[in-house]
Order: sequence, then C-alpha cells, then structure tokens
Amino acid sequence: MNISETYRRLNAPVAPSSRLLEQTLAKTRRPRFPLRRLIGIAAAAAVLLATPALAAQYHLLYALSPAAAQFFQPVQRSCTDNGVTVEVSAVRVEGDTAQAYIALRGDTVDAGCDLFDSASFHFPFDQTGHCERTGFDPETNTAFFLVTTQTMDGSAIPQGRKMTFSLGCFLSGKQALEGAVVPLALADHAAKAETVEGFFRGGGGKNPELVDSVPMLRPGEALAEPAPGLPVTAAGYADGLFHVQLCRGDAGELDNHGFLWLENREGARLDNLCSAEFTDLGEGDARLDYQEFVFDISPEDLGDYTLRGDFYTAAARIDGNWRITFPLENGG
Amino acid sequence: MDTASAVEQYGHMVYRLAYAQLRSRHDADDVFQEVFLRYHRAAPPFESEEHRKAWFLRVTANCSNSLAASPWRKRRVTLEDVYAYDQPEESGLDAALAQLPSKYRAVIHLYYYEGYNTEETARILRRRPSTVRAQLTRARQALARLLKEDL
Repeated sequence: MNISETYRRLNAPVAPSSRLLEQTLAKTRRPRFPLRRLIGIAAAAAVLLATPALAAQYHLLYALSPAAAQFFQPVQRSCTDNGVTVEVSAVRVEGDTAQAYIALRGDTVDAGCDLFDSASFHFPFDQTGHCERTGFDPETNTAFFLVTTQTMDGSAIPQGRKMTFSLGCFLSGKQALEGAVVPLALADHAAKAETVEGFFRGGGGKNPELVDSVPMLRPGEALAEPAPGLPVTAAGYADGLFHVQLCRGDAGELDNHGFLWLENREGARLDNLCSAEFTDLGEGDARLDYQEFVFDISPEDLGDYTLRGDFYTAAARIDGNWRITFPLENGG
Repeated sequence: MDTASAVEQYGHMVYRLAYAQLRSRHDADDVFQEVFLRYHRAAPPFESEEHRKAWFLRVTANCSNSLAASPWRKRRVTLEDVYAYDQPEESGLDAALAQLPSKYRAVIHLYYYEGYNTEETARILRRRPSTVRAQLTRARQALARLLKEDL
C-alpha cells in the first residue's frame, strides 16, 4: 500500500459542514472587543503613558515601550550560542498569559530577523503563542521581540517558581519584494504543459476541492527568478487552467514564499483560483517545496497580461540551543 | 486576515487535523469552532502566512489534545460520527489508524497530508524532533502490523 496516496484519499471527504461554517462565522460576527473592555484599555493606557520611567535596568525596555515596562519584571538573563546572545530582558505573567521581551544580539542578527516560530516558554500546559518584532538597534546589532503565550485551557500560569524560555533558530537577511513584475512572457507558455505525480500535496488554500485535485506541472529549469531563491520553474496549461510554479527550495530552511497574480495593461488584477503546495521530500537534504498558482484565463488572453507577485525570502537560518531559566516572582 | 477569510483559507486544514486526531465529526466540529473563535478573539499578528498556518495547526492539535483528555468527552462514537469508506484499502487504513494513539495520528497527518518534515512537525507540535521521528517510526510499524503489509 502507498500510505501517502491512500491517506490522501481517506481525507478527501473530510470537511466542515456548511452548517458548521455558518455557526462559526455567526459567532465571530460579534464585536471583538466589548465596549467595557475598550474603555478599560483606554484608561489603562492613559495612566501608564503618564507614568515616568523607573529603574535603570529597564532602560532597554523603556526605550521600546515605556508603558509596557510598568507591568514587566526585569530578568536580564542571557545565553550565548552560535555567536548570538539571546537575553530575556523582562517578563510578565498574568493569569493564563506570559509575555517576554527578548533581545537577540550578534553579527548575524539584522533588522528583519524572524524567530521562525521556534520560541517557546516551558510550562506544563498546552499553549499557543505568537511573536512580534518590536525594534532594532543598529549600533549593537540587537533585535527586540515581544513573545506572548497563552495556556490553551485558560489555566493560570503558576508564579513564585522558575520558568524557562527557549529559542531554536531564527532567520536573517529577510527581504520583501512586493508588487514586482516577473520577467516572463506569458504568451510563450500558452501551450499544454507536462504534469507530474508523486509529490506530497500540501493542504489549505482557497477552493480546497480544487487544491486537492489540481495537477502539478513538472518542475524544470528556472524560467525567471523574481527574487533570490524563488525561481519560476514551470508555466503552462493543465486541465484547461493556466499554472505558474514557484520553487521555494527547502521551505523548512528559509521559509521563502511568494504570491502571484496577473495584471492587464489597464491595471485590472486577476487573482488565482487556488494555490496548491507540493513537496519533493527527495533523499537526505534534497527536499524541495513548490507553490503552484492556478488561473482561469484563456491562452488567447495571456498576451494581454503581466505576471506580478509579492516575494518574501531569507538569506540564512541560524540554529542554536538558547535556553534561559529565570525565577518568576509572585505578582510579576 | 479577518476571520471569515481565515475560515475560507484554513477551515479544511483545521477540520482535517482535528478529525485525524479525534476521529469524531462531533468533536472535530467543537475543535473547529474553538480554534476560529480563538483566532477571532486573539487576532494574533503573524510575520508570514507560513506562521499563520503553523499557528492554526498548533492550536488545532492542542485543542484536540485538550478535548481528548477531557473527562466530559463522550467516549462512544456513533456511526454517523465517523466517515465511512467503500474501498478495502481505505477502510483498512482507516480502521488501523483508529487503533493508534491520537498523538501518533497528529504526526501521521502532518507528515503524510500536510507534507511537513519531522523537524517542522516537531516545531508545530512543540515536541522534540527525536520524539516526532520516534513516533512516526512507531506509527508506521504499528500500521504495518495492523495491515499485515510493508509500508
């Protein structure tokens, strides 16, 4: 049995019902912040913004966010690995939420670096979190982040004991190229293209039914490279729809990705019907990921359109084992 | 991305992972609602679509784990609560998957359906890469034993 193919077929009928979709969307149509909460936030912000800076050890955090610093307990403990020092500058725990200001310092750190979803707090609860970049100091090559984590079931995070923060890697040299023209003469690719099977198909995307069934073009040599590390490796028709394929390299390595659309001479935009993802796991380190954008456009009309896209790339992934354990004071 | 767009973009992915772990449409419905309500309430900022997708997968896996561990969860699953398959190969794999622990099914799903490698799967599930590799190997061995064939 080919477990991959059989498992895909097994998942084909699995989908949320239209009733479930309606119920879920109905619940989210309520206002995100009730008025009472908005008033509370505004009042707190007014008080905090009027409060002067406190101790010198908060200077870094104060430079970033004077208001937030009032709630945070200073930690200033660090760990160095692979030439990069990661410091937990300050932390705040309230109820089910932990937040920490993190500073990364080192030659490979830059203004656009990205923690690549590898930052986490260690505590015995299922958790969910996110991270936002809050600043960069070019003089010391230090990037600042605010990492926020919540327990999944609303359990309060215990205080008065130790907590550990860890980071596994980050991306540097990130570039965003938005609205760029892809130098590809679309009319030259109006013919039917060869398709290929045997690649892992990623889920998600608009029009899920189409994503699950759309064929993949056979990858070839780079037809164009609108951004470094993101070549167009195929273009042409399959099943009456126009495909353009971007090769992402190993997506787990640099997270290079893009988004393509067509635009005519009048500036009218034609968005894709779906974007499917494919993976060639290859041998050893040879993994390659592809994004395939599918458009409903006739071959005769192709010459009237230009291919455009947003492209997001990184130059390097820096791995390390950064772990910082610090005491968490009561009422922090 | 607003919640309606997120439901359109990631709804099937969330539902499939929840069903893969819980093997109950009713439970998958509950997790689906919980995940998108959390997204709506938190409105978390993301640096990229990859991060948003990983967030949805992680929250789905965590919500499914929490529900699976809940003492209030109904232990009996009715026929209407599961998907049925006509083809012997599919029904055989489905029955074999039902006998695996939920944590193995999450790894199987992310690897074979979403196409993540073991390191990415580990990051999403907040497990060690070595743990995910071991779980994938054990899951494959268990499936091979249950299906009485090499995979």
